Amino acid sequence: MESSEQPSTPRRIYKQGEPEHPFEVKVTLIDGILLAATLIFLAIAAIDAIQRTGEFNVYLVTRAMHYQISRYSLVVALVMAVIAVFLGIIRKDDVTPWFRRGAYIVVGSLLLQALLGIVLMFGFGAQPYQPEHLVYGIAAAACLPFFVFVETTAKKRPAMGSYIWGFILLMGIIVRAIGTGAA
Amino acid sequence: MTELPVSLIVSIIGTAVTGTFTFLVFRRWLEKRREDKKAPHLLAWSIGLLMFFFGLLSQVVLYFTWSPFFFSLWYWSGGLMVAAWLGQGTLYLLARKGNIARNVQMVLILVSLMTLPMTFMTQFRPENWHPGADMTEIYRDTTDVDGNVTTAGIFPASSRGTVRFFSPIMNIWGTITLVGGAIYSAVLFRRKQIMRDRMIGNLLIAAGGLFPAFGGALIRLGDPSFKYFGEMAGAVLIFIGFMLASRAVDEVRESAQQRKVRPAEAAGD
Repeated sequence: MESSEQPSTPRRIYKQGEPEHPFEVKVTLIDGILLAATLIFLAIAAIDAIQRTGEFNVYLVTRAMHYQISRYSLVVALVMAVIAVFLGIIRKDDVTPWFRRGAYIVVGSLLLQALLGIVLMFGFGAQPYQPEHLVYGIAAAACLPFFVFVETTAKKRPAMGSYIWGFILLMGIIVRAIGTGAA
Repeated sequence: MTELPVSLIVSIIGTAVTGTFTFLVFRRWLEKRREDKKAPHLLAWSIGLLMFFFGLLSQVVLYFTWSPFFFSLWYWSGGLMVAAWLGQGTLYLLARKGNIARNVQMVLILVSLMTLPMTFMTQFRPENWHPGADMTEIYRDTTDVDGNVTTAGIFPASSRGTVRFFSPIMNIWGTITLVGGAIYSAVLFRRKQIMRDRMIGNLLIAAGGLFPAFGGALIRLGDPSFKYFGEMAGAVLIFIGFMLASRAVDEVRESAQQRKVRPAEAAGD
């Protein structure tokens, strides 16, 4: 007698190892949400800065966005670290494609943040509270690529540990950058 | 003719010794690389020894003349990097599961790159330096029990929140990996009654890494120059330890390869 059990909808399980090409340009639901949230946040931060000053002052808008992205990056790094701990330690899963793309979006946000800092410094002559802010700022932008390199070249899988290390270190660097940047 | 102080002579010999050891360990890493064998522990140790060399070399230069470059190099290499990089080599030998050692190395590279410009950006107070001074005693302010500055140091007080913020982190981490790693492997190998060379090698590395840290205690034994002897003895112990631990790793690899070959030979028969 044949079994009457219907196969349930298979849960999408990513194969251990490299689920897809690590640098594939693609946006799916979860990383798409993070990308959309980042862009909406940037737009809100810009509109808020314009509203506060009552005019479009490039310096004030840039400074406000530099300030807001630092806080946003800290929160996103915390969320990504928690997700990395959940996926890597609790579920013992490998890096999912959307998580990796999420990390790229964080790298992009931090590069934008660094660019705004450069504009503030060299375009408007603004100086951070302490000169070490420059080092922490560059380190924040450069931090995640180091761990992306370890993860994408890792022969030992799963390799979610790289992102756990990366996002925790990133949080520390952002905290120090905020502490040395604000007057 | 003026007599050279013992501390300076020992520092000069220590510089030559660490320079030679750096070259030997690095050459060994290159040989492994040519043979397509991975030995990241040797690279990490050679970086640690190079930092040791830079620290001692800067100490010799700073004995004669003030140089902000050599003071920065002395603090960055000797004060921040040595223990952490030596510990990284031990970590490569101990943490074989996953990518822990590689990830820690990335943290170490990042912190090294961050602290390098920070150290060189610091505004020092060269007026607190004098020829023949012991750098470990004059590099920072000394305070009394109430926290009042009794002797001003070369680093400004504000540096405590900048580059000096990393000093305890790097040294505690380095000590944990060096000493903790040595104790862990000693317990493990003793329990299993295997790899005696690696156990002794790791213990020597740990002892060598701790010698410079016990400089203050050595001074109290009667002569300030003991501290410099301690630094040199540390470098020698580390080198012997590296050679013993690396030899043990090679032996394990060779026996593992032989085990792989034997079944194939048997099948061929």
